[in-house]
Amino acid sequence: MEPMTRRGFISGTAAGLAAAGVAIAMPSQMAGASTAARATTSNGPATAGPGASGPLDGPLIAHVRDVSSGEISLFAGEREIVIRDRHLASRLAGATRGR
Amino acid sequence: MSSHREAPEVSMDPTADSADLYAFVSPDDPGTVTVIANYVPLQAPAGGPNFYEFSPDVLYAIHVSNDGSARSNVTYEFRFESVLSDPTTFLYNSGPIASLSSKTWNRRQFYSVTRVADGKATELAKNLPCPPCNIGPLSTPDYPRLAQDAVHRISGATVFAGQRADAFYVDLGSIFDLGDLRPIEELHATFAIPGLKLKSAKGVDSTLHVNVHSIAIRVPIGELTNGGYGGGDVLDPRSTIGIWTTASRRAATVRHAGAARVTQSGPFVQESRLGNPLFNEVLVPLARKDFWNSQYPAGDAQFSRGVTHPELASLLPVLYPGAFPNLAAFNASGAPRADLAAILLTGIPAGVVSAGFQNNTGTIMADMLRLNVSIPAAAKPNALGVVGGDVAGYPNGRRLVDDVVSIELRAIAGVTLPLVDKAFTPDKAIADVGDGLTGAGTQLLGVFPYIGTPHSGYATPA
Repeated sequence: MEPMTRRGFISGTAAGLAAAGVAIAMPSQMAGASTAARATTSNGPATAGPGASGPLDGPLIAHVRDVSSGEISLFAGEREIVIRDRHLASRLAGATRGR
Repeated sequence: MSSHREAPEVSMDPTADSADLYAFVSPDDPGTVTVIANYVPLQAPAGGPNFYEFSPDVLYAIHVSNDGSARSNVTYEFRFESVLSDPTTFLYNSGPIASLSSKTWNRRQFYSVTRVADGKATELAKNLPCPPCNIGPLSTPDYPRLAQDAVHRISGATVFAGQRADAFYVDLGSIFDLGDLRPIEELHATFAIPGLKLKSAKGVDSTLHVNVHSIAIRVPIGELTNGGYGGGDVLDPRSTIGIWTTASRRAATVRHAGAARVTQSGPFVQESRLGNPLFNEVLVPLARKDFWNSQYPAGDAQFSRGVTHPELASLLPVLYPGAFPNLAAFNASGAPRADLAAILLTGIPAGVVSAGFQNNTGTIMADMLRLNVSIPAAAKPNALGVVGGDVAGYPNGRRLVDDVVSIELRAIAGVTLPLVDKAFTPDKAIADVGDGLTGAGTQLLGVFPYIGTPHSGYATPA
């Protein structure tokens, strides 16, 4: 019997979840939106440039911090990317109301 | 209690709760420093069938600052993985665990070690096995050998990660009963509770029979110091390093019903940290303790008032009326406790304790465990460390034997004030301040990882 690990268990489901996430936060829809990326270093939060383009590896989780300003945090890999996209935030909020 | 359950949020997350941090020049290998970071505090040894382990979701780290910046110059990161060999059984083990590769051991952990320095991360080792928990004579018949097999010599370091007996000794039961110190409790105000009379008594070691999970690493001194300095001159600024440990979790977690339970992503966010014992526990207000855990030593100036005007120093003359008149008078003056600031936030400059001692890291106020690596291990350690005339002990690093409760209680009560205020005379009661414990009964090892064999679940009352 193959040993089972928690991390493998999680990553095994990540691709499907990531695909669902991309449908919400498509790169094309982020074009024009202001972005900033934050990574955590051993000495505290640091600001870094936007990540390299390429296929998403692992889950993407979005947190709409403020619908009115369009501030959305995207958590991918070991980075947090903050975007401001009022249209996208509004669409996501609308989706929670069935619109 | 050094940092066990010291803040409201992290007390609900034991696998990320740093309990104690030790750092000392290895007594049997003087060219090296050993650092031990304990997590998962207050384990009842019989706590099965799901015995204790590190969290696979937590990034554990040991940080070293060596340039006076109170920022990490060298970091060792530890990541754990749990492996279930047979998902069809409820058993932790289905027979005696004779070795770290025993087929009868169902739930195992492995870990990786990564060194981060100069912006570069280097994985030193991976898939290192942890030992099992100490269950009993049937499951873990030769526990010391299992643990010794889990000591790994890797590139540039020796490491161990797994269950150990908690080396910290403290009378939690009395201290958290409104500051009752059993050796002097006949002096306690007792809040005029009718019929209550307290008599001086010996301390009760609340952690004598509990286990923790330790991450221990031993590295050559030059791996930690500025420019690879190998030590030798106590007064050389490169001799002093500042150390702390952190535990962090991913920023975003989504829990799901059904089989795929958890999705995690984003940067690691710090949930717990520990430098000096009891810092967050005693000197930071309850409302700020979890915030303190999220912060970094370089920003500790924001917590300095808790050190320079400690609440406990104000409470002692109230809880023990008449026992601390000199301390009460000093408190009334409103003067800052420069002695505590030096001990806990900047390190002690040369010439304060003696001409030949320093563990100062400059002017940046930061809670770090400061170790002067040029001071050799003491042949006969004094558990009171520097206060007891033994500069190889706390607050110069911290050894497993050090009585940090008595040292810090006495320091707060004023025993170290004359170092910076020659006019101050410590109160007579200071000689008995402490929790009345000496560490007797704490089992330690003479070799790495030094911290003792964990208590067996079979043999230890829960």
